[in-house]
Amino acid sequence: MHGVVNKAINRLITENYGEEDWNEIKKDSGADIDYFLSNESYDDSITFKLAGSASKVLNFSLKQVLTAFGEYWNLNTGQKQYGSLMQAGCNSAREFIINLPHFHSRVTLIHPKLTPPEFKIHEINDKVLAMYYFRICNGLTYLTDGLIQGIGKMFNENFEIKITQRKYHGSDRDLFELTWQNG
Amino acid sequence: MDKALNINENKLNVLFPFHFFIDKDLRVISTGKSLDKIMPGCINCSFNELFNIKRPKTDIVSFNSLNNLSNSVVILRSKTKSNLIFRGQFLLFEESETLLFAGSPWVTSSEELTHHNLVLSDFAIHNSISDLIQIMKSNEMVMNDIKHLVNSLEKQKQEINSTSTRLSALIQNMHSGILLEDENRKIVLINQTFCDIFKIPLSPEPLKGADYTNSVEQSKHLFTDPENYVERIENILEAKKPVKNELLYLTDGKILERDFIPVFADDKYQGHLWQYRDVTEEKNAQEKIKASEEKYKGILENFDLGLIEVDVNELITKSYPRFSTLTGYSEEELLNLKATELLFEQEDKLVLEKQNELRKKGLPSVYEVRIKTKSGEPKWVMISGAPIFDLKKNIVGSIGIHWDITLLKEKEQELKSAKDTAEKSALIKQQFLANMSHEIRTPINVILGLSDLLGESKLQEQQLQDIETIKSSANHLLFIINDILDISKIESGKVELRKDSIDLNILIENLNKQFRPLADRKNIQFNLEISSLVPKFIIGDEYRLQQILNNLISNAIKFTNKGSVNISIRPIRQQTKKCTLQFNIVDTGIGIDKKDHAKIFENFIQASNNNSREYGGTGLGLSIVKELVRLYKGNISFTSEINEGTSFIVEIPFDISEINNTTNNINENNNEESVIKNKNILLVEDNELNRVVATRYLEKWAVVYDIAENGIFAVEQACSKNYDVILMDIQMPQMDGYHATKLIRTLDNSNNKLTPIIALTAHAVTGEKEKCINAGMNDYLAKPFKPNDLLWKITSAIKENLKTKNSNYNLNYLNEIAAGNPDFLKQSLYVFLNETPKMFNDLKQALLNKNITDYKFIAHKIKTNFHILGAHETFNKIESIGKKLPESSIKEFEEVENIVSLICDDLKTELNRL
Repeated sequence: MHGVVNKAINRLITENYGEEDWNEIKKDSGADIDYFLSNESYDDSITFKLAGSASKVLNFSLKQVLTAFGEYWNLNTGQKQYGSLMQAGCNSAREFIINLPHFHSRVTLIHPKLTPPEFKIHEINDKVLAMYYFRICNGLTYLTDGLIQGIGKMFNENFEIKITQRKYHGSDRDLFELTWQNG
Repeated sequence: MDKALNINENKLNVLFPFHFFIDKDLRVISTGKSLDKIMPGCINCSFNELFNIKRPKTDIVSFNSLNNLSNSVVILRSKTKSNLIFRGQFLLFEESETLLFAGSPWVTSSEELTHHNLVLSDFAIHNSISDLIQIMKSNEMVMNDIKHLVNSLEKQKQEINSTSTRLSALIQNMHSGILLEDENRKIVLINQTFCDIFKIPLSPEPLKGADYTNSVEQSKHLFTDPENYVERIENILEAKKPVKNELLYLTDGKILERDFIPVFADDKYQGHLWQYRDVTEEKNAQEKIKASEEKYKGILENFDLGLIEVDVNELITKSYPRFSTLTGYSEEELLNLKATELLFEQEDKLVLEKQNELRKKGLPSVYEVRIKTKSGEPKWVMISGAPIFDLKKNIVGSIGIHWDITLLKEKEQELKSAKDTAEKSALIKQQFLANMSHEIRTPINVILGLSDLLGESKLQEQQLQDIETIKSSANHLLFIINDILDISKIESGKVELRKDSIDLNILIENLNKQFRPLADRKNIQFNLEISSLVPKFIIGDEYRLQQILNNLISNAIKFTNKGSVNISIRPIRQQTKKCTLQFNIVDTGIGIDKKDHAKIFENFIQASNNNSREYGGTGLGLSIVKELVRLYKGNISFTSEINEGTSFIVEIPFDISEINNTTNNINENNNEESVIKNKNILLVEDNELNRVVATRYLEKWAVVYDIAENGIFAVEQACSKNYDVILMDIQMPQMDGYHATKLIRTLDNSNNKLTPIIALTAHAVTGEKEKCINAGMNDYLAKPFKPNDLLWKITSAIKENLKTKNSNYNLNYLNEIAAGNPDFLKQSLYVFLNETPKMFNDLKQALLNKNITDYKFIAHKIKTNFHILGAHETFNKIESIGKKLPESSIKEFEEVENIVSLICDDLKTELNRL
C-alpha cells in the first residue's frame, strides 16, 4: 500500500481519537513504524492489520473502519494533498473513475516499486459503470468501497455502489457496480 | 480532414490537441481543440500577436526563421494569457506551405492546470505532462516527508545531545570510576575518578578515542594479584557477560568493587562499560561490624543469653542459637512468628503488651516474665528489650536479650520461704519473750513491792536480812530478764539512742554509789578517776551509757576476789563541740584465757563454763555492751591475762552539751509526795497481787484512788468521775489497756479525755512504749517498777497537766519550730521580752485615748508574738477589749496587763535557765 494511505489512517485515528489510541492500535497491530513515508510502498497486510486493530480498539466493525479509511483518504488527505490534481484530472466522478486505469498505469511507471491495484472500467450505459478491482491481497474491498464513496462526495454526486463479486468468494477480482440515479 | 493539408485533423487533435497551423504570412489558420479552449479566437490572428518565442533566441520572426527552428525544442509564451507557456516543435508542410506547431502547455503542478482552466483530459493520453505533475507532486510530498524527518532527526539529535551532556556530567561527577569502551576498546568516555583510581596522569577529555588495550598491563602493578587481574579482564571481555560487585584488592590496602556491563544494540556488540567503586571504608566497616557481631555473638553465647530481633509487627526476624536452646524452637520455626503468641501464656501476654508499648515509644526496659518452651516446660526469663532504629531514627523493630533465671527464681522462692520461716520464728521468739517477760515480771513486781513494804515495817535483824536476800534474788532475776529483752531489742534494730544532756559528774557519782558498796563487801579497792579535761555535759543516751559501764564494772567486781577495780574516764580527742571519751575498767581479777578471747562478746557465752556456775550471769552482758558501743559508733577492746586481771577500754565520740537539762527526780520524794497527796487516781489492774502492791504505795502516798479490774470497768469509772491520773495495766481480760484508753479519750461522756494515763505493764518488749503512746496514753512504766519511779511518773504527769491547764502560755509550738536549737529559742524569748512591755504601754495609751485605730493596729502587731508563745487566751482578751472600744473598761485591761507581766516573769526565768 502506498505510504500516503497508511499516513491517512494515522491521521484519521489521531485527529478523531488521539495519539494514545493510535499508539495502542499500532502496538496491537505490531506495526513498528514511527512514520509512514508518502512515496514508500508498504505491504498491504500492514494496512489490513491496522484496520483490524482499530476495529478492536475503537470498537467498530472492520467494514466500518475500512470504509471510513477510504472516505477519509479521499475527502481529507486526498483533497488536501491531491485536491487540485484530482480536480484537474476530471470534471466528474464518472470521468474520474473511468480515468482510474490510466492513472494507475501511470503510477506503475512513476513508482516502479509500487504494485498498485488495477482497475478495469466498463461503461454499461450512461448511468451505470462496472468497476473491476484487481489486487494481490484480500480484505481491502471495503477500503475501495470507502474510496469510491469518497469520490462521490468529492464531486458531490450520488451513486449507488454494489459489490457484486468478492475476491475471496472464489473470484480473482472484486466487482463494483456503480449506478447514478440522475444520469 | 483538411485536404489542403492532407492531414486528418481529428487524429491530429487526439495526438496534439494544443496544435496550430500558420501560413506564410504567419496567420493562424487552424487550432487544436484544447488550444481553442484556453486561447479562443486565435484563427486569423498573427503569430506575433499571439506568441513570443522564448527559446531559441529568434531576432526576426518570419516564416523562414520559424521553419529554421524545426530541429529545436521551441518554447512559446502566450501574449494573450499570462504565464502560459507552450513547449513543442515546428514542422513544415511544403505542399501547403504551412508550419505546424505540435506541442502542449508546460505545467508543473495541478494548481497551474486549474489556473489555466485545464484538466488532464485536455492533454493527449501519451502526453507525459500528467506524469510530470504527479512526479512533481510526489516530489513535494517527499520533500515534506524529508522536512518532517529532518526536523525529527534534529529534535532527536538535540535530545540525544542533552541526554549525552547530562550523562557525561553525571559520569564525570560520579564517585565511581567509569570507563566506556567501544567494541575495539577505544575509550568513548572516561571520568576523573577512574583516572585517579588507576593513577592515569591525564584528564578525561584527551583520553577519548585512545586505545585502552595496553593500559591493563600498565595498571596491573596496582593490584595485589596482578596476573589474575589481567587474566580476569581478558576472560570478562571474552565472555561479554555482565559482572557485578567483583572485589579487587590493591597493594595500598584499598578495596575496589567492579562492575562490567556489555553494550549490545540489535544483538550487535557495541562495547562495554567498566565501573570501579572504592569500597575500602565500607568493607572495613563491614569487617568491623562482622567482627563486632562475632564478638557480641560470642559474648552472648558465653553468657548464655538468648537473643531475638523482631520487626514493628512483632514478627521474629532473627533468632540466635542460644534462644533456640532456651525455647526448644529452631530458628526456622521461630522466623516470622509472633513471640507473644508462641512463647507466652495468656496471663503473661499483658506484661508483653506493656513492654511493646514502651518499645513503640522508643524506650528500653528490663523485666522478668514467664515463658513456655516448645516442650511446654515453663521457664522464667529476664528480658532486656530495646528498640532498633534505622539511619533516619525510625523504629524498625526491637531486640530482646533473654536470660534464663528459672534457677534464680527457684532460689529466690526458697530464700523467701526461708525468710518467711525466719520471720515467723522471730515473731514466735518475740511473742515468747513478751509472754515470758510478762509472766515473770508480774510476780517479781509483787515480790519486790511487798519486800519493800515489808522492809519498812518493824522486823528482826534476821528477817530484814532475809527480805534483802529476797529482793536481791528478785533483782537478779529481773537483771536477767532485762538482759534478754535488751539483746532482743538490739537484734531487731529497735534500740535508738536518745540525745540527752548527760552530767558526767552525776553519772560517776551514781556509779560510785552503786558499786563501791559491792567492792567494799568483797574487800577490794574501788577507784574512780575522772580527768579534769572531761567536759561537764555531753549529749547521749544516759541510760545506755550507764548500762555499758554497769555491765563492765559489775563484771570487774564479780570476777575480782582481791586487789582492785579501777575506773578512769579521760578525753582522747577533743574539738570545740566534739569529744571522744575513753573509759578504762581495769581489774585484778581472774582474767580471761587467751583461747576464750575471741568468743567473749558472743551471746550466752562466758569465758569459762565454770564461770556461770561460780559467778552466775547470762553471758549476755558483754554482747549487749558491744552492740551498744557499736550504736554509739565507738570501739571496745580488752586485754587480759589469766589470773592477772582484765582491762576493758571503751572509746565513744560524744557531742559536747553547753547546757544541763538533766532532770534529777529521784531524791525529791518528799516534794513529790506532797504533790500527789489527796489526788484522785484510778488504778486499772486485773492482777490481785499487783493491785495489793500498788494500793499499798498509793495509800502510803495518801492518794485517793479507785480500782478497776479490767478495761470495761475502767471506762465506766472514767465516764463517771474526774481523775488526776489513771494507771493503766495493758494485758487484761475482757478489754485490754489500749482499747480502754482509746474509749476514755474518745467517748463523749468521758470525764477524762485529757487526764494523764500511765501504762503499767509487764510487757517490756521492744515497741511496747510506742504502742501505748499511740493508743493515747501519756507515759509508760515497765513492771516491776521501783516505788520512786512510779511516784515520779505520777507527779510528773500531774505537774505537766497542771501546767498545761493553768499556764497563760505554752512553749510547745516554739520548741517545735526551734527544732532543738537553743539559740533560736533564746532569741525568740528575748524578742518577746524586749518588745512586749513597750508595746503594751502603747496599747494602754491607745485605750486611754479611746483611739480604736491605734489600738487595733498595735494589737495586730503583737498578735504573732502571743500566738507563737501559745498565749492565745490572753490575746483573745486583748482583742475583746479592743472590740468594746470606746466602752472598754481600763480595769479589764489592767487584769490582762497583770497576766502579761506574769508571763514575762516566767519567760525571764526560762531564758535564764536556757
